Amino acid sequence: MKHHSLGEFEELVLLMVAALHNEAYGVSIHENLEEKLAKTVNISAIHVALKRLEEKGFVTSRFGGITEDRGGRRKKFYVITALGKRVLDKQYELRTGIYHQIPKISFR
Amino acid sequence: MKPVPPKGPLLFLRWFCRKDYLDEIEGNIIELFNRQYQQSPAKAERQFTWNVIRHLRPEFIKPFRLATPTNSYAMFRNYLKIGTRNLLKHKFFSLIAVTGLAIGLCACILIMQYANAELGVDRFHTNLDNLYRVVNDRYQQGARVQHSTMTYSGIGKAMKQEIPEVAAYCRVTPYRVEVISWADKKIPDQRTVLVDASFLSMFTYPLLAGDPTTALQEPNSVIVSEKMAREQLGVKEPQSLLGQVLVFDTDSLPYKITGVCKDAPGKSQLHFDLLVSYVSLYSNSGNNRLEQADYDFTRASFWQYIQLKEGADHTAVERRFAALNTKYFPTAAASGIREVFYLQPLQKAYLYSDFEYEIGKTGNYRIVWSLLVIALFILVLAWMNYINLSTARSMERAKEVGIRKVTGASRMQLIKQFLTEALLINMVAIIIAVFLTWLLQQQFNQLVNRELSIGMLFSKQTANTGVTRLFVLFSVAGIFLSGFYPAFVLSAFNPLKVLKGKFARSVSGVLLRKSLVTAQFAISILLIIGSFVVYRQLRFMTGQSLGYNMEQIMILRKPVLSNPGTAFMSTADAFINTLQQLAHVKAAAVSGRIPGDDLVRINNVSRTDIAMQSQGTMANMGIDPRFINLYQMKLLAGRNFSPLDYNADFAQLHNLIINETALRQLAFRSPEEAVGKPVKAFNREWNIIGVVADFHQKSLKSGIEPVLLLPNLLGQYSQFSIKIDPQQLPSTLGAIQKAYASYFPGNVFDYYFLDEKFNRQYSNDYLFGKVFGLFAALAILIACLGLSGLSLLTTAQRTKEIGIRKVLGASVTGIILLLSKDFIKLVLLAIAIASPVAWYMMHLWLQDFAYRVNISWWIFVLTGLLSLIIALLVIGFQTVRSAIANPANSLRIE
Repeated sequence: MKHHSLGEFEELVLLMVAALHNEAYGVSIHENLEEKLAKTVNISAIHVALKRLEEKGFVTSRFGGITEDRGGRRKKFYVITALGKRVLDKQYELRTGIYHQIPKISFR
Repeated sequence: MKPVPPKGPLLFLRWFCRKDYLDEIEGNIIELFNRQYQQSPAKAERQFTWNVIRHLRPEFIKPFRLATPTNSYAMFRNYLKIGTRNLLKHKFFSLIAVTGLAIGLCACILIMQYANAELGVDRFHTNLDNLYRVVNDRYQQGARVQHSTMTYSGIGKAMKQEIPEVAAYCRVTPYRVEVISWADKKIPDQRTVLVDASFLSMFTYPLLAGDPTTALQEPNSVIVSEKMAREQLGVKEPQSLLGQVLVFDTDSLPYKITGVCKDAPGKSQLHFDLLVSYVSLYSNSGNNRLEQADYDFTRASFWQYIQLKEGADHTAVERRFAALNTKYFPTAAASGIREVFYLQPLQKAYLYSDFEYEIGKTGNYRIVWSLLVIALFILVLAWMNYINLSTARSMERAKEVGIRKVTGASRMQLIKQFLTEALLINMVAIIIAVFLTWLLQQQFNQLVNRELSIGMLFSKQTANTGVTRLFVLFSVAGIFLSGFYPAFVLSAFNPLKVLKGKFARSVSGVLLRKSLVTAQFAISILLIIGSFVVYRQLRFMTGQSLGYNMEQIMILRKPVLSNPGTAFMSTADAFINTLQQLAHVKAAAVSGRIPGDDLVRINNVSRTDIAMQSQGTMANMGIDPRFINLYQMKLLAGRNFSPLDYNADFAQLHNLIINETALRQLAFRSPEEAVGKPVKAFNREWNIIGVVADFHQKSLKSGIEPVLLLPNLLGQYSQFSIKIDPQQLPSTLGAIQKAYASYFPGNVFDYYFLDEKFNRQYSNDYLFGKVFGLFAALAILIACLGLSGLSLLTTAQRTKEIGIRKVLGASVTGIILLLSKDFIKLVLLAIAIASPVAWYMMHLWLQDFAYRVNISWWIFVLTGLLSLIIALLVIGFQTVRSAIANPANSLRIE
């Protein structure tokens, strides 16, 4: 994969996975994202994003234990991979690089 | 409490979602649901459902096609393809199989509807299992003289007092109201029933307005039906009717509307437009006061229904009825009379009735069940066709089976294949059958005189009789059995033999095929003989002399709104005299009852001149002096009534005329001997002035009763019989109506022809006859379809043999004979099997009739010949064609 493309929402989810580190799974991502974005996000969108990220190799997953709160279903935890981190770094560099090129004109 | 996520969406998610994603997705949604549940359960449930729906996207949906085992799915598609190709390739056989099945199924569906409707009568009552009606037999000197649903008014109360299992009782009495007046409106022909207040709690007739506990408590209270309120009174808001007042005929007291009851969701034996409180009958009000209606054990002319406590056994209750006899009928034993009471479950009241004085229309369970059985028979015939044709065609499929086996098909797979084909044919047939049913529904409804539809078999309200379940089970079993046999035969071929070409005609299937053809013809012959006998019996009943002539006699509606007593008698006389002046009126008479009516019976009729050990029960009927001549009844001895014999006061009447049966029961040796002799009836002495020949008061299903003819009319409840010349009927009717209006002002003029009404007693039998005949025709049609298919096959398989025979010098007739011989033998065998069975079954059917035809031998001969000729015609076409074919053509193909 030459181009490690990353959509806007995917980037947000990937950032959140990285931020939550070992505690990132569907519901925690959902909760934090909603809080940060201050708008409702459908869980299915997060699931789709996670699947795509995993497919692209930006995250890996493992199953956690069964909790009663989840109707006897296991949690699936996501951790960012080195590749994922590099993509984020690149993205960050790109953005800040361009950001710094903005001439210092006052925006009134 | 632990919140439970909505079940439907959850199951849906589990159904569509990929297994490897399910843990994560389901777990997350449930976790979210649990969190949200604390705030708002309803919102949480909505959100849960929404989340499930949002997950319905390609990433998460499991691959359905891959999930099923690939091979068998592909094979199934192949079976369907091959099956369809086979159907289309052998059009003639497919046509026969599908036509037969479609006809059979269609007949079945139609008859199911009829049976379902007949069996469903009164099923809508929620207390059905605990409701019974009291039935009353009366024995006199050990012989049963009455077998009736009418009984004594006190019996229900007595049962409730004596027997703890009896929870409630209800007296029910239809009441003759000719005209109901409501404000200015006059409404004729409303069915009125007097019922106890318990009626509304025992039976399921919810009230739209009024209080069910009090509505029927007071005398002269009336509940009108929703239908009557809507159609006759034109009232849409039932509440507005409460408190309004109705007047019945000339009754001096009005009736107050205290309720409006909802129309019953199903059919009931008891039809009513108005329910009147039963107390009205015996309370001190109105001019219809009837003392015996309350608590009486002398007059058996009331209907009683009782409700047993939940779980009570009605046979155990019945056993305790014997004790009632001694307590409530203390004098009965001395005069040789025994009253026997028993309980008939309400469920059976409509269909299983051989009782006299029925409260409503009755059906006949024998007719219902036999039609059901016949319909199923026809379906079986069609399946036999399928079995026959598909096994007979096994030769053609043998190579295919061989190849399939060689390339690795297991026997199970082959069975599956042929079952698929059977299913395919049956499905096509079902679709056609439903379409046919839809087409024929109107005609069928007219034939059986009912409002039926295919939906009634499946709607929750009407399909509670089990008929639908029976039919579905039967069809599924039939489809599989008829599919299995050919599947087993076809899948059993040895591939080695088949592919080498050594495969000869299978011998094992021949016997089965022969017996199936025999069975088909036996069933057809059975039905043909049956319809012959039914038809002859109906002809006999309508053609039989009844002892009087009822042709061209019209009956007028009772002039109930007129003066009673002496005044009525003179008005009636004047009216009849006016009628007789009319050009096309031949004669007219007035009487209390007319032929076809139920007669009232009295007990204790005896002779006073000699000592008689037994006292007789006899029917009685009031007639005027013109009646005997009008109906052309035969006076055997003595004289007819004269005007001097009549008196408005019943106690002043002394002369009567008896019929022959009464003559015999009174032990007179000849009609002449009886004339002038005294006879005791109504607890006083009468004088016999004449004897008439026996006549059939009721249909020929029942025997002739002893009858006393009295010079006593029923006042304004009398009926006028008018014999007219049917020429210029409209003008005659106009003149009669004018006379009626001038003599009986205010009454409704209406009339009907007596023979039509009398013959309606046979309506069930006519229906049976028609449907039976139709089914016989269908059965023979299906059997012929099968036979023609089979004969085509056998001649095709023997083409070469026929060619060789012809080359060697066989004649055409010889070959036709050779080919037909096998089939003719089978038809003969079928005749031999069917005839005795048919005789026995029709013998049973005829037991319903007191007067019946003999089952003559020529019916069997005729049916036998008929079926032989039909079979020969069907086979003949094929055989003749192959017999006259040029042998060079058949032998050249190699």
